[in-house]
Amino acid sequence: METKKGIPVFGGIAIGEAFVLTSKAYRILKRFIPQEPAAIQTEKDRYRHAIQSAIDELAAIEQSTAHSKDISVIFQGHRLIIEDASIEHEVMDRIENSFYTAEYAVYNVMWWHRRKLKVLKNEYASRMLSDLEDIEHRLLRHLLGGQPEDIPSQQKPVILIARDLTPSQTALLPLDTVLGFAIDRGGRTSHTAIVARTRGIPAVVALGNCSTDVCSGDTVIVDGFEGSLIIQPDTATLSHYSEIQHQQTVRKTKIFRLRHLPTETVDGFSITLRANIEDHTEVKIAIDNGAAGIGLYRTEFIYVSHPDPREEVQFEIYRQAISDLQGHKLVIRTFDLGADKMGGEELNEQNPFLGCRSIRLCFEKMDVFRAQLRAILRASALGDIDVMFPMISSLEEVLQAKAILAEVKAELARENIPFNHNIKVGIMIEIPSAAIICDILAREVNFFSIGTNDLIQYTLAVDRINERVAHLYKPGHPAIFRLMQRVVEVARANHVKVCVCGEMSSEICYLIPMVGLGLREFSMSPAMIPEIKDVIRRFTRYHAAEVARRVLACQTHEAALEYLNEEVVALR
Amino acid sequence: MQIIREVTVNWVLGLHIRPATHIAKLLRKFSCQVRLVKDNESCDAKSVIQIITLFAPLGDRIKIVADGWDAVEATDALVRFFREYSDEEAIPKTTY
Repeated sequence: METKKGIPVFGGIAIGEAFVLTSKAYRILKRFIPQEPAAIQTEKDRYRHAIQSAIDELAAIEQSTAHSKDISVIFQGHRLIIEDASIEHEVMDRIENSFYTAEYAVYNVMWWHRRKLKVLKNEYASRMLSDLEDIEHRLLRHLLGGQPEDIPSQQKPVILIARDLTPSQTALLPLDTVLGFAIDRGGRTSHTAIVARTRGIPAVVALGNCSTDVCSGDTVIVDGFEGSLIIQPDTATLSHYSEIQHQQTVRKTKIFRLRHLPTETVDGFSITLRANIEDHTEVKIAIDNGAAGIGLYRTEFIYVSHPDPREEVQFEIYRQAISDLQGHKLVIRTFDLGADKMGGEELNEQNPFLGCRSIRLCFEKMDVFRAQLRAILRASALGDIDVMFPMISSLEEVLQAKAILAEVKAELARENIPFNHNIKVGIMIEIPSAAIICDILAREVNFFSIGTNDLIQYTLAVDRINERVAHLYKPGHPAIFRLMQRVVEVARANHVKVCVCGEMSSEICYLIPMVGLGLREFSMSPAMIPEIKDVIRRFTRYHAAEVARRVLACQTHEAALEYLNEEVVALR
Repeated sequence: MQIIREVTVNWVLGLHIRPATHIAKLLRKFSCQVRLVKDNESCDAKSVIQIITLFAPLGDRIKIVADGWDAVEATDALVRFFREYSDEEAIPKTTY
């Protein structure tokens, strides 16, 4: 038995027979042709013939992958590279002036192009490198008259092991028979990672040299949670993983059945679970997972993908989202962007998270802000839409945002454009000052949404992307629970609704005390909803309140977490 | 006529083969010469291989230098492409 560690790219356990995909590496030797015109001509013809058949082959793959534009355009790129006059010119030059054989000329030309990328040693470069290798390999194969590579064609399900999957391999793989991936190279954005994620196949990449350590036919286990590959597991390990895999399947089917049951605690306290989305196409996924609407629509994606996001473009997107929601609620958060993404000119800020971003930037880019509010208001005539302002730190900001909203409303009324006059207005509670003065803010808004990620980051002064301080990012810190408790109490007294939309809401251990504090609305990534619903249906509100009381008494994150983990275990 | 404009690479995966393919295809319609310039390097914007080996990850600033009678139209089209093309397979960055 041998265990190898890599980077997990999609969670899950796969147990099965290995199929090692060997890409035949051609060993191209430096060989010369006779220095005479006839030989040069023959060699050039060989090259022309090879590129023509490579181009034909690529055109056929383009055709067969036409259903997926993302994939087919990659092959179109390969074809354009092969057709590229500069490559042909370089190859011809080496044949004519250096008297290289066509294959050595190809190898040599591609080597020079590859070399530029190889020195960069990062993920983007390695991605492009795999495209170039794919092209080179195809050209050489056509020159040398080889057969296309073996692809597992048998019906038997296998775990696919390879040094790296080239784009052509991934496109042609019979993915229905692939149980898991274990790949030597790559990272979180490599071709394999993306295929694995979209198809939901457990996968581990960056495993070093697993493709040489495993033989086709070996029994292997891919652990997509831990990021490990176990080769020839012993009986104990095998039964351990079979058990995990079995539990997983049972759980998945069970949870899936729960989808349309009410989300309530054992004692009937009902909870609303909504989804966080970045793109309106995710609405359908959210509904399929049993979401009671969208609790946080991060509109930044619209801004980033349409840098001139005119009112009409946005209106169309919101209209589509509300129609897909079939009567459920949609909470739209206005642009929450840093200056770099919103202006073109980059402000060189020393402290971008404390800088001119989000609502502050919207106040500077008034035309953009007003266009968004107009689009949201117009869509509000078509369904249940709330508007929410991010990064609020003071009363003045709430008043200013509301004043602009009122102006835009008046404008629409003058133009006789329909909108919901009573659209509900909410604010993100993600800056400690807003949590502390929430009693003042409560009089001005209809709802609060606690963004736990930023609230933790700003309260604890920790940038969790900075690896040196990431360990200080502690959701269980007493300060966070105290702020949350305050917001819940103030909201209750002022009849203001509160939702939690950060990552904390989809972590079971924090969910229980949050329900205990009296929170009843949560918004999370669509895929988490079934599992969280399952958890909620296992405890009572009374018990959750007790858990909250005990957590509030904990003095450190570690103490809170230790206790909460016990609670989670007891729940299973 | 020479036209110079600057753009930013807005795709999570950088200026990789997919956008490069679109750029080369888009420019074939124009007769002017177009080069992409980054730091001290430049490449022919009509050649996919040259674009991808220019190596421009997310956030890089690139100068477009076009020369020829239809340089204005070509740069306009290219600037629009840099602004509007969304690389679908790319994974959006999450912030709360």
